[in-house]
Amino acid sequence: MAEMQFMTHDQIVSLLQRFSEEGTVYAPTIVEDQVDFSSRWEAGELVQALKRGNSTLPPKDLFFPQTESIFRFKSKDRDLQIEPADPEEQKFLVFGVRPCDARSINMLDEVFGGPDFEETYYKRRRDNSVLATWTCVEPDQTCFCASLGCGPGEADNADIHFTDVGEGAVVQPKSEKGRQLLQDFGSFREAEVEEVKAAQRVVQKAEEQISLQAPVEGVDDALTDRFEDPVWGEVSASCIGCGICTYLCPTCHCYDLQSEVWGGEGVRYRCWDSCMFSDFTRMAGGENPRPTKRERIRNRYLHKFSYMPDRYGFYGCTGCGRCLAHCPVNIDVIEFLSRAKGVSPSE
Amino acid sequence: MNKVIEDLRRASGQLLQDGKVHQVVGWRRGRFFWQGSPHFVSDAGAVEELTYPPCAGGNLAKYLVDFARGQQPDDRQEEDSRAVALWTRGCESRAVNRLIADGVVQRDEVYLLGYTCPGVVDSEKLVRWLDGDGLQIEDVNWAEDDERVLLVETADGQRRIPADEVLQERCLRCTHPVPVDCDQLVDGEGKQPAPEDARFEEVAELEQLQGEERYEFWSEHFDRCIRCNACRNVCPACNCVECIFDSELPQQPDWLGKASSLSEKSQFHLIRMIHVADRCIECGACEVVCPVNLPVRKLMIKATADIDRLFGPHQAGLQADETPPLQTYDLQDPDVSHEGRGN
Ligand code: SF4
Ligand code: SF4
Ligand code: SF4
Repeated sequence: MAEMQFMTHDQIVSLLQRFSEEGTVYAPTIVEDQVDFSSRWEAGELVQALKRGNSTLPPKDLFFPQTESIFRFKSKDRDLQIEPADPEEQKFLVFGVRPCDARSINMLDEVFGGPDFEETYYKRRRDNSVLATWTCVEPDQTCFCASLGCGPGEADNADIHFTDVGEGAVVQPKSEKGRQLLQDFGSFREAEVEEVKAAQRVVQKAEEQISLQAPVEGVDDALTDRFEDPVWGEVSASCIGCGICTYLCPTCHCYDLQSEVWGGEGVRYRCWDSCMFSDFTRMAGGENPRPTKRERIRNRYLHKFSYMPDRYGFYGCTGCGRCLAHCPVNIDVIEFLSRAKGVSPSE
Repeated sequence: MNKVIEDLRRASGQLLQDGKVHQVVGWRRGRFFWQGSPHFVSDAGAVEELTYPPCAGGNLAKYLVDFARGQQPDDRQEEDSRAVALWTRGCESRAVNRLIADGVVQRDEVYLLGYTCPGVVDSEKLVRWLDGDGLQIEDVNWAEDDERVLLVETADGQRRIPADEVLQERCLRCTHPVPVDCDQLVDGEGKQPAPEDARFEEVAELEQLQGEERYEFWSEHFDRCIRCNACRNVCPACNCVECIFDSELPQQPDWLGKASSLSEKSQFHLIRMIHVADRCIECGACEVVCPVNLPVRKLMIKATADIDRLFGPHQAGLQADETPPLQTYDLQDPDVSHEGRGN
């Protein structure tokens, strides 16, 4: 408790502005009537943007960019030169991240920063960044994070966490980086007991507001030996094979390696890919291991609810509700989970 | 609308029972009031699952492409060549005509169960309509006693809203709410057709901008595109067997990279726009599905407007045997570009 501090909204803005002098701040910004994480955030609109629901796109692009150069190459007379792209190290702060999205970054850490394979560029961005989370004061109707072991006010892997209590926010540093941030960019007063209690009430109220539940427990077992099951045809019938669910999902992390070549030189880059696309993992020669939407949806759901728990010990879903909210044909992950477990969706 | 829904269900059940069709494609409610989901029924006993939700998004005709190409989950025996029945609004009937003209679908592969479209509700308009009173919407339904009225349930009781006040912009400008072709038409009032000159209203302002300003306008929008391909995948005019944005087979050139850069994104949109320009049926599904609210439809309206001016009045999909203007050569084209008007 002793560490809890209090900042007014103005103080938060000025902290971000001061950080901007040394690095980049990405914060919720209203663009085209949606919330984006942007470096062009507006001081005057920050509080307004934070009051809206979660961002349409998760902040995953800041750590795992949609497109990123890996290396450049040049070849001349059988002599090949390869030069790593080596992106510049840049300090940055992501502010206003929701707890579910912070949790997803935890998951990406396992994938890209795990003990066996460490992805240098990803790791460098994680090391150079500060993750500042924000309690969801008003969760969306589509949120079901509570079913997946997180909640509107919990962010275990945040560096610093903010809970808005009206006039300002109760601030809790949660890591060395978070403490350093407070030390470097301002001295704020300790939060009063009343303010800390108010913050707890905000979190509790938000928790009570989340009524949507996903029957996720034990679904990995329920999915064993279900590779050939009528459920895949049923849930995929209306799918149009777009990349919305995967690109908006904070935990989806499949990518493709492509090159751009001009004569004897070029660049090899990595870019997001989606298992819902018709050309995903299609082989040279045209063989496609997942020829129709049935196999593609199966891959998406099994990856999240069977392969990931098997490999990492957690489900590849945070309950952020983005796929539920934005799928243009309303393919519904909760309904899938209910079917997979053989319970009626209303239970 | 409830009577229309009842009649559509009854007709669907009959078609299945008589074995005339193997499946019916219609709608069901989504989890939330702003959603509707395409729904497939192959058992006459299950037609009650079908409905017409106020926010019935995309364009159902696109599934005919999946049926035609073996992409749709389908338990039929090989020799079963029965048709699929499609709940058909104006835009769906025009899309079917386009698919027939493009040689993707045969007319006898589909049974068009038509109804006059009541329009599709724009959920954001609906939210704004009630925002002033600080009301949260719990549910929306069509009124029993008046086809053109919506009943909105809120914590503070029920509100009646005239549907035309909250329809999507594309529907407000739709010239053909009545199907242009169908095998059976279910009676109902539906939405009034918009006058033809309403079609291009939305780009009038954009057309006033100078080149540089237009470039900026579109660059800003294109830059937000995440290349999810939803606009392409929902579009009935986008029906190539192998789309150039996907082609990666070794024997084919890499037309467009997968990078998410402004130049690749702009190319994606411009190529798609030109490719569907004279076959766009103005359904607006492309814009409805976009997760980041890009005004994709505006781009299409501008292309359609230009084609209309350059080659004479044209609306795609009104007949199945049409030849789109960009696929014909006619010395009589009222080409006005030399007068500087077809810009
Ligand atoms: S699967 Fe859906 S709800 Fe789960 S994390 Fe991904 S987008 Fe969010
Ligand atoms: S481009 Fe858009 S409006 Fe035109 S037919 Fe395709 S989806 Fe419909
Ligand atoms: S639907 Fe929107 S985001 Fe997706 S590719 Fe089309 S314009 Fe881009």
